[in-house]
Amino acid sequence: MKKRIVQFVLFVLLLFFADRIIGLALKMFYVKTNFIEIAKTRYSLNSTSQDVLIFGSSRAQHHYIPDIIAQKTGLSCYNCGLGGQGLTFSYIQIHETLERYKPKLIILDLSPNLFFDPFSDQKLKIFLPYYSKDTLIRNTLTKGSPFETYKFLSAIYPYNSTIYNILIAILNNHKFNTSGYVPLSGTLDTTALTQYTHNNTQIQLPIKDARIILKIIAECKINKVNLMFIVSPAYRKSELDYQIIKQLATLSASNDIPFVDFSEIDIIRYHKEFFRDNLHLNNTGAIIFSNEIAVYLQKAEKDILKLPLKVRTEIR
Amino acid sequence: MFYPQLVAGPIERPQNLLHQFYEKHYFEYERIIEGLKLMLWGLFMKLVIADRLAIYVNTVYNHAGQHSGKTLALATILFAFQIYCDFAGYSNIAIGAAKVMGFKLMTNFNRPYFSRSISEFWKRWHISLSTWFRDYLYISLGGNRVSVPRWYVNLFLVFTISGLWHGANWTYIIWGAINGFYLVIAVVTEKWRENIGKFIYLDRVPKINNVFQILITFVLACFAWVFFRAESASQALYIVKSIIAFKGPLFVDAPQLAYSAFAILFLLLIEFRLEYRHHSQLPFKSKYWFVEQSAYVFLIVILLTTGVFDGSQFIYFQF
Repeated sequence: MKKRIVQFVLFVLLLFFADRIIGLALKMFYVKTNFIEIAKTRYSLNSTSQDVLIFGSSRAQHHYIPDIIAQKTGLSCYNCGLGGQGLTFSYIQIHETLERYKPKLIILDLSPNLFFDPFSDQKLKIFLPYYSKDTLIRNTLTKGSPFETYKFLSAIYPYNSTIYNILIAILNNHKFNTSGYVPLSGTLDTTALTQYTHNNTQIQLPIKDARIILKIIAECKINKVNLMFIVSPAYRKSELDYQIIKQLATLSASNDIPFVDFSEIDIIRYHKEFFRDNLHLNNTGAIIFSNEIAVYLQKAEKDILKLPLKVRTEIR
Repeated sequence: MFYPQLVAGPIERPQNLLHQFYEKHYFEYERIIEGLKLMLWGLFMKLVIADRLAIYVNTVYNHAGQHSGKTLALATILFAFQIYCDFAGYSNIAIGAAKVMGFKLMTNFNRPYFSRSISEFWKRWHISLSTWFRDYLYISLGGNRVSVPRWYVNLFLVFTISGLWHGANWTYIIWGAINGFYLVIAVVTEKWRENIGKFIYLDRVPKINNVFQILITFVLACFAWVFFRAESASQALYIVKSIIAFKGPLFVDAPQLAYSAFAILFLLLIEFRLEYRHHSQLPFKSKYWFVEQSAYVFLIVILLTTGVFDGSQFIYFQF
């Protein structure tokens, strides 16, 4: 029996040390890797200091070119948008940013497709390594399962499913993306587009997402940081898109937040050569759009960047 | 209620299980450790292999119309491993949990993808269900102790009904019928296949012959799995046609495919060793205590590093 107890204790110690050592090694690689998703999340949570920050999903990441905005407005700019992520991700990014400093302007790209992704909560695993950083992150990660807290007893678990990304970044010698913008190449193939049919179904903005938007608004107001919502271009919008945009505009207006809908601006609309696919601009389209944003910010600077916030709800 | 096998088997027989409830069970260190190791292996199969493969499989099968034949073929192969690891993983957890408490449940899976024929496949896959159908339906219908045409009908009928057991959907019934059809054809063509094997000298190279038979059996199983996984019979037929046409680019989700390839390779290495060397249900066995324990620590490390912890359901919970 004594031998069994010794064996059991030895096994537990072996497991403990393996977990700690491998966890530490993964952490060392994780904090240094330039794999885009990891590096951007790390930078946006810990290190941004720019005047203008852009948040959102892939449409933010691939549409807004910070260098163009910076050049025209004279304000430093960083694109925190990340493909595949939803509103909760942006909210956590904004919350962590405001804990550190107050940018002059936060732009949140609101795309209708942000609101109906059933897997958006699962993608928040990207915050696992930041579990101990903040109560908001901790509560978000442990919301779905009562056992999540116990998994964090492991030093390896926070780096779950990151090993491939870390290896790829090392093998391909990824460099840190200093602007956050990721250009897309290619041109839209319109023959493959879904034909939308009109129907009378009323689609509501999900309550959960409306609450997150209100939380973002509240945090920016408490911290006296200018916030604006933008809908960036899409090639073809569906009935759902129109309804959601209208509801977002109403929500923004009722909370005194500038809302600008660029989804159908003439210079880009119907030009398939500016789109990579129905929802994403290619690099050429992003350059044109970023110039439009920069010009808009220049003209609206007096309104947008000075307090009190001026209400502007525009459908461009 | 005996919770380990309550929800998804193994389907135990009263003569095997009931008497165990009246026996005294004692603390036995080795038995408990073996039970825990089996549970760990089952958890590994579920979280590292099955749930990882499910990410790619679900992406493709849930939007089958948007994917090429090559992608659908790959997704089907991955599904074959997903359903095996999901179900066998659960069985291992159930059997391991019962073992910890001193109860012995029957083995439910015996490395089915090493089968050299469909007949052998059904002696290794969901053993508790297939033996139940054999004992209570096939033999009741007369088994093979009837005329030859009646024997074929019995085989076909039993498997079609086993498909129906999985759910009231044509896809399951067709899946069962396909397996029944395979068995009938296997019996009918047995002599021809033997003669063909001799004609092309396959019988003189038993290892190559084994590999060939294993691959053929796997392909046949995969074809049937298309119907099991598809949402409808028409979708299944569309998928089969696309796979046969084999056109279009392959959908590459690099991280998921990399993890999936690693997981399947790991599984095959372990099972190859178990099949041809150690004939055990436990993945690691060594005469050196430290080596064996290190192997299980390694298993836990891989589970923490690459396991999918999104709380997904076991596939067979729905049946």
